[in-house]
Amino acid sequence: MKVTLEVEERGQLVRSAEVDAAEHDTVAIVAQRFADVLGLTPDELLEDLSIDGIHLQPHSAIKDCNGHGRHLRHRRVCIDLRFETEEARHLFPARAHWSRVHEWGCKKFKVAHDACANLELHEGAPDGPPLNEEKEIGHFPDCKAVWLVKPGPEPNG
Amino acid sequence: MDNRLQRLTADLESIAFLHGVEQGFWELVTHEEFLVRVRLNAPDTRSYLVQLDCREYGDEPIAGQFVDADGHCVQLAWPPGNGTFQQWIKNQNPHLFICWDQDRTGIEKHHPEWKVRKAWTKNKNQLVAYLDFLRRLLHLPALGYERRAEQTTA
Repeated sequence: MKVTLEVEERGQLVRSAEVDAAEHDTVAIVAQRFADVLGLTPDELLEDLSIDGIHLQPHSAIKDCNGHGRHLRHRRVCIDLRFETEEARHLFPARAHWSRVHEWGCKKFKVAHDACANLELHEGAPDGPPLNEEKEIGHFPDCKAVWLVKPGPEPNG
Repeated sequence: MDNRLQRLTADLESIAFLHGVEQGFWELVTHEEFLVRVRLNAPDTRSYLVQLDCREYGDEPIAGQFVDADGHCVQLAWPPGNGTFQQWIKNQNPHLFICWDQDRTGIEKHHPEWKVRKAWTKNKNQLVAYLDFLRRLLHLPALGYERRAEQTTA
């Protein structure tokens, strides 16, 4: 059977792909095929893969999710990440946790592992509200500015 | 209504406080006049109940202490941590208090010399500043909170 995946970026449908799948294939196997076609990693795809707004589990059989002209959807949201004087934009799966943005930023800006653990993400400005890295990034149409910052020391005398 | 109570109520309804709730950092448990109880969520899935005595809100620092579900300040209610963490969180009996220049107990009973700093007036939202301080202690690894090891399933 044919399975179609639509990729949504910043709220817009930007591309789609079609792959063949056997009835017994799992969602994870099909995600691997789409990843090869689209140049994404399967893990990223699986983090935000839905049909009719329902998130698909990797071990589910694709035949139970597909059919009736319905398409799979993968949503990516734009984060404009800033660190000190540097800035980089990247698209992340909407259901990924903020910790993924943190890890990506440390690699991108070449932050040492120990130092990376003690940075935190703030929304909009270095002193903006903190983001909980255990939470999902969420879905929004525009590019969100996020700062990777080192909080100042807390005085205790 | 007392304008200090009005200010406290406004801070409990502020965008900054509600952002912390929305992000899952904390949740309001009870608010009775100047006594506020907030549940703080740690990154290791544990949570801690902090009781904030906010009398003289704005003019005086908040007195915070961790309490159990019955409101008793017992050692078990306090988050564990290493020596760095214990610079701020005195979590060993009989010394259970928050050693910070924005905590009333820390100032009045242990460091009266800090009072002149009026550090609690630095932030417009005194309540959120206090909660954000505790949030950082729990979430930033360098500050030494002892996280429970992740459980794995066989």
